[in-house]
Amino acid sequence: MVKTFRLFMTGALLLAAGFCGAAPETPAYFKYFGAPVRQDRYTRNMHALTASRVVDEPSLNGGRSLEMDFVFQKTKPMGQLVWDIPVMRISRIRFSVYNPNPAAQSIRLTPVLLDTQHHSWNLSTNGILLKAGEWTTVDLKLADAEEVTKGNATVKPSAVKDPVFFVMFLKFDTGGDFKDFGQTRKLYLDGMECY
Amino acid sequence: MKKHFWIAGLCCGLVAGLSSAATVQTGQEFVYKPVPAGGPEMVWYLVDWGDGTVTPTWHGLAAFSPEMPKVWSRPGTFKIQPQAITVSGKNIPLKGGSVTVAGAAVKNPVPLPAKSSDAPQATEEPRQPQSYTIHFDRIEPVDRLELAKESGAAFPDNFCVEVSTDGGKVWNDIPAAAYSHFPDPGNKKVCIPLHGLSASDLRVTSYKPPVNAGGKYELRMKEPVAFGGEKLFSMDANPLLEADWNNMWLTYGSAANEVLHNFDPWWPTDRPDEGGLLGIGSTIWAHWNAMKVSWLNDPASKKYYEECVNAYPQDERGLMGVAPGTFYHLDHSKHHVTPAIFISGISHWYLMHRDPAFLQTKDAKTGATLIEKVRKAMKFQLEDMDGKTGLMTIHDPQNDGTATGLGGNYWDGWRFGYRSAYCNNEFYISLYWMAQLETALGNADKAAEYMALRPLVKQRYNEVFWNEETGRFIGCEGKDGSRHDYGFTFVNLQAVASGVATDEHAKKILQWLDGERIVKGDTSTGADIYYWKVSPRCNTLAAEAIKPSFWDNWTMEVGPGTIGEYGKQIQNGGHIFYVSHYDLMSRLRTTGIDAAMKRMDVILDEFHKDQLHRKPSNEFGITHVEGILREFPESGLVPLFMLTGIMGIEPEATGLRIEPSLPTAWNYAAVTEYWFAGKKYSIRAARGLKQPEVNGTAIKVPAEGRWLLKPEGEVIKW
Repeated sequence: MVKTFRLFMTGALLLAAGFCGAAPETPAYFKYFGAPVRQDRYTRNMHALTASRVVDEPSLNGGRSLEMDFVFQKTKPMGQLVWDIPVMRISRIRFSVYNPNPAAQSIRLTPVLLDTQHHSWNLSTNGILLKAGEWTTVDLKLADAEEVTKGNATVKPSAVKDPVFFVMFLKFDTGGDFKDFGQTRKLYLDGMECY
Repeated sequence: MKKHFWIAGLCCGLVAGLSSAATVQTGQEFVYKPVPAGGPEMVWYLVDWGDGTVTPTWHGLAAFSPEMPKVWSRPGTFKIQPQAITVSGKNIPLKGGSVTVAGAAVKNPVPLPAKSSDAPQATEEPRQPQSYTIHFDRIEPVDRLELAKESGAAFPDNFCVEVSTDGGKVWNDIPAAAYSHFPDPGNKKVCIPLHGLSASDLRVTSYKPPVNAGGKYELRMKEPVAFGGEKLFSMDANPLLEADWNNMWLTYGSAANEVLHNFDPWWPTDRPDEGGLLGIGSTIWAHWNAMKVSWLNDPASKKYYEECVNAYPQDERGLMGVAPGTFYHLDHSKHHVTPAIFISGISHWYLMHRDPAFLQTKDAKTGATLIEKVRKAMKFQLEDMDGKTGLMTIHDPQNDGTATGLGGNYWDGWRFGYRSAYCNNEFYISLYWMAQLETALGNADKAAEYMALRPLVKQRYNEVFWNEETGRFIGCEGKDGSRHDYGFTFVNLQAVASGVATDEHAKKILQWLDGERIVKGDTSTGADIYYWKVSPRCNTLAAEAIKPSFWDNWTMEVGPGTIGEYGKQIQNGGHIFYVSHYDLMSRLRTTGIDAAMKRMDVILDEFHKDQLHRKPSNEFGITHVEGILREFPESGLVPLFMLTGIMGIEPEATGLRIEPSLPTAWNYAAVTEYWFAGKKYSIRAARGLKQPEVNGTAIKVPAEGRWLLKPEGEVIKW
């Protein structure tokens, strides 16, 4: 009897959610570049990432985007956007990157987060290929981190007790086919959501 | 301005989260400190005062909690319910308490007249910002903003308050007024403190509006209501200039609307929340802290400063440590400039407060009184450092001023030592302050000795440190006879501002900085010297230009492709904002107030754009390029120029000197709250007045002349 009632209630709730439209999950942290806050207060440009600015287009979901200028060099084929956040507990990050560059000039993205216990959480050790001419959505759970290290030691994500995070590194590397070294290449970030 | 009336015997109860009932009078300010939430995440606090209002704070470390002022307008017993909200959205109820408010009901303040924009329209775009904007007829100082939920609509769980001073053309955030995961306030009013923020417009914006019943995104609340405050600085200049000047003080002076991670304006805040700060407790800041804080009504900061200064260690000769408990700056080097800064800071502080007990407080470790330490510090300068010869020398072999010596002052990237221009200028300043202090203490003979030495120090300074070839002062002369001239703008401007530079040298220095005179071989010349606009590059010749370099590479290398490359490091081609205070004072002294105001206009124009919340990084991700935010509370000296320069207010032996220098276009300048010798004053310098006018603690002095406010309140020609 109890079981039947629970099943009924579950079904009713699902039905209600379907009719009303499920409320979107609220991010613990988000930035859509709309506020009059200088981006250098929370982002840092490193290495081949030479400049960045907020632009209206291209955009997703009515927000603005961060236009990033990369000048990759053969000796420095990596650019990095460092994103500082208030010390917080998060389990997932989500953002999208628009890559207007030709497919033959591939760029890969590796997100890495640092926690206050000095663990480095690499969410994609081989990097995520940024698809040419379109948005690539990155939606990753920290529990699925491909590599978590502290110094030279590697640990399982589940072994880190109550991690809280304070900085994210978005590393952009050129692929083996990349040849436009020394030229400015642009990428666009649509914002950042952490859950 | 802070106006805390701490209730006797209540402090412990407050710290413990009001474990026992407290009593307060209606209309009287009460300070409540919630129990820290604890935990690894950052939190912000929300306090329900039990009278239908709630007050939120900014976010910070959960090991700390803020002091929150509150005034009740009606009598009764009110239950205080605090809660903490983590930045990821977890709600933590905290232990509260109750307060009994006695006395007659007082009138609630009247809201500022304002026009409101239309309510935002619902949209299907989740990331489209939506705002409620209120526009004032004129620029108003705003003390608080009240928000309330509209019946039937969801209160936004994230929103921030933003400000404009120009009718909405340029908007800036208010760092301390940004909230995420805001709980539903129900029928309570949300009171957001703004501390007298100058605004032509305010807007409440949600960058992720809530979802309404129809599934669309819509910011919905009752129209925000603003309550006025008092302008701290006023002048008959362009209202925009006045507003930006006041807001610059609010940002970098009191730091009242900044995010403070320790909920304390004396401890720096880290990225991404870095902003203005009130002070830093190290010896190096002892005089700057006195300049910034001594005229404020801020009991907590007064207590902190007074505890700090007597915790600075002093060795048996008289050298001061760099901070409570240590002689070594970041375990690296001693700073022989500390005795001078200590003397100037303590003297300034005493002359502002006139509290003899302060000078008699004892060092907890040695039992020495503060005045004994001050006198010993002066003796160390005069004897151990040869100051009585007119030229002070650092004899510590580690600080020998050569290419292998260690840094010896605030500018710790450089090897200032042996005969340091920076140190000798601070010595010159300390002689003045010590003379003022000894005069105030009735020791006229000692004071006369110190004042008599100053002309010799000035003479020797200009002889030893002037570089005829470049037309500016060098940084220091090493024990090996090496002379280090990297175009140190801070050395030169601080020397001009103090008056140690001769008039002739002062003019040549300003000609160099203004690009009227090019120094051959410099890395930065002409207009490029002010590349950063708000202050000059700290050096005009790159640290890497000379080998071996005078740069102390204990934290970083300099040179092409390095972290410390010229223009990419605060101390090597970058800038630190505080230098502009000395730039303004130098121009006031040398070329007059209108020339100084041209510089100030540039600074204010830049402030207007982004409140100078600037923190770019170099290609290595290091944000030590511009020195404005975080560990630079001395940025607040720049808006303080209103008092130090334009109103010419400074304490001296017998009172508070007021020697205005109004810009030609102004007829008056005023400060509405200035604390001196335990009394609150408003001080106004005005053209057209023949004699000072004193009405209680409201003081008006003629704009021309030199006046003295005595500790007992009398104003005389001086």
